Amino acid sequence: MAIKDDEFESLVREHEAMLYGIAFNFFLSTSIAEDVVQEVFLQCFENLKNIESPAHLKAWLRRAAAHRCIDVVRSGKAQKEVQMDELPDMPDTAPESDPLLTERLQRLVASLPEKQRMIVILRYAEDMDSDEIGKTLDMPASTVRTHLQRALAVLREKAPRALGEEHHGPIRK
Amino acid sequence: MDRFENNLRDALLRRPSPPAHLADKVVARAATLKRFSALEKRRPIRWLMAAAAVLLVAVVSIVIFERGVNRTHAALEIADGPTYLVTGGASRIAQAGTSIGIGDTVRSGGGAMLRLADGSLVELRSHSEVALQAASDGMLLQLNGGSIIVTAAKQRNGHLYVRTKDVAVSVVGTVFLVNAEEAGSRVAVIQGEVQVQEGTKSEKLRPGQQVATNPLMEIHPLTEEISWSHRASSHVALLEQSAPASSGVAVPARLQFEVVSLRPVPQTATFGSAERLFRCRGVDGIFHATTGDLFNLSFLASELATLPASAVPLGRCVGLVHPGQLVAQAYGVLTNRVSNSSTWPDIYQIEAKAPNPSTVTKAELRQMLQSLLADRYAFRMHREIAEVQGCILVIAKNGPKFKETSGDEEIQPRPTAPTGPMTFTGKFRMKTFADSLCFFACRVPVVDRTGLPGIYDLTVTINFGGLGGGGGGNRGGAGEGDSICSSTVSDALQDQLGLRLDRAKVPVEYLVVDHIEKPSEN
Repeated sequence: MAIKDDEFESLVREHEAMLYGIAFNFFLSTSIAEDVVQEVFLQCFENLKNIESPAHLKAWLRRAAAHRCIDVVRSGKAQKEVQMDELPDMPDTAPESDPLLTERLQRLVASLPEKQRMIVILRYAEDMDSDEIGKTLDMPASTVRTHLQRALAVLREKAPRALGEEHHGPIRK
Repeated sequence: MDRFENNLRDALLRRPSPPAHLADKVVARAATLKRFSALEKRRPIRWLMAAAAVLLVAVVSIVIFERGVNRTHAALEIADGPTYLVTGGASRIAQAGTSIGIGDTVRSGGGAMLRLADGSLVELRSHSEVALQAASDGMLLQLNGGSIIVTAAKQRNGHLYVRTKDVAVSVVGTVFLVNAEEAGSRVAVIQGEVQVQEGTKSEKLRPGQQVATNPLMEIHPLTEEISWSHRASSHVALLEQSAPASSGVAVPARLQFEVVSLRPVPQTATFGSAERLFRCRGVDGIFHATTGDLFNLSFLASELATLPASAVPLGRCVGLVHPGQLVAQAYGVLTNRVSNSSTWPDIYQIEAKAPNPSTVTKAELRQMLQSLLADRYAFRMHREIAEVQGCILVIAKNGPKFKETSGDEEIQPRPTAPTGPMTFTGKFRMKTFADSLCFFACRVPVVDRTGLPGIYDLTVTINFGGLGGGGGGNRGGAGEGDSICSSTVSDALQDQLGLRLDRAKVPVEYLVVDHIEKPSEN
């Protein structure tokens, strides 16, 4: 059964956090994340009649967001790194976690090639398995696993080094 | 999952919540999309158009009968935000379906669409103002500010004209954009052709061509110029059909420095000292990199005031500059109106000389800085207008307590410490005064709504007490803007100048950096 126009607002409110989270982790930019979320929902609005069920909707949104993020990077409209002062205040959901480590890991993930980056985000932030990620990104599960292993190897190698570096922020007046 | 993967998961889950307005924005955009697609579907049905025309004639007859004067010539089809209709000096909110007559003015808070009696569609960009006037052989749209895209119906017995303060466009049956800014006007054709009259000069524009009345106005690709339209994709498709390879831009060649040297500087350099500050000197004055053009009110004001003019040779730009400040200077905006870029290159020592140093003006030097950014930094940007919480500057109840003066604007350096009482003094246009209040006092955008057109002698001292004053310029929170604009600053303005600040949502234009990279070698 297709989703109706008047259900659109409630589905936006239900899924905006998920989409915003994916896009934010991907770009580490609140403004680009906002743009991506808006575009994905508008795309969804135009395709409501083709979406059959709430489960289908969630998969559809994740898929649209993942492809949209990768397209934005490839179009050159976003950069891979973000200045320190562009990062918003983070929610204090894990008080025991080391904020420095968190920030460095986020930055390292955001520096991965776009497919590896999206795979890491879908795997760890969205808790998706290789099959689900493969369907989302149109690639075999085995390729997903390969990308994931490579990404993890890079992150494991760079994480200690990144933590040892002192941040030199941009000079601002 | 091992410990590292757990840390990774925790890091990725520590992400911000979406902003509160995001869902509302999406829902509003979807609603607009729905209305526009409904409109698109309605357009081709000629019999419906004919019926609408019959209805329009009926409405016109009734209006003529009832009001005797103001004939209905258009209707507001879509109001995507607050839209005001000004009739005989009185302003009221207009809603979809509101009739608009000759002599009426429409102001769009968000986007809006008018349908004229002949079936032409006029799309207004947000914060645009257009007045309907009668022409001897048709109708005239007077664009007072902002941008419109006109999809003109075939004109059978008359003409449709669009006029700005410095250009007039006559139309036969076509799609085109007109943009009116303080600096001048811009006309661009998407489909068909238009006749553009600028003073005694007349030229015909074809699809893909643009003309600007002021050579210093920036020219963007036409697809960028129309990107604000809700129907941008169909306009782009029309453009591709009509002018597949056209990028014709009828403007004079851009201005460039004759000699430019860029040298990287270590980040430990004494960036904050006045003598190394980036500055440009034209025949009409100097502008500095720390602030907006006219504001010698920065934290370096006292040092700058002691610098001899000879420290900046005429016709040159010299000093250390962060690329963000260079962008602000090139485009004459406050630095806080330039978006952050994640790829700002380092600070560079710039020495640049104009080809005509003894005659070059500040405005021309800015144009040369724009060329320098494009050529050496591969800089690209676009503009966005956002509605943000700010203040409007209005005349208080008992009227202004200052006098009009002559000559150019002159603003004196702030003589006091940044945390003490702050004095603004000089010869200001009201817009400049509002901007300086924004940057140094309120920390939220301030828009001039006094309607005062001249240059005025103004002096006001604001005692911030514990609030602190200078060096602001961030977008600022609503609470901060509210408290400062409604009390300290507003009270001082009211007592000393007869002006007042009211809290309001105001349009602010931002330069959004699309691309910038390390400058190329000398």
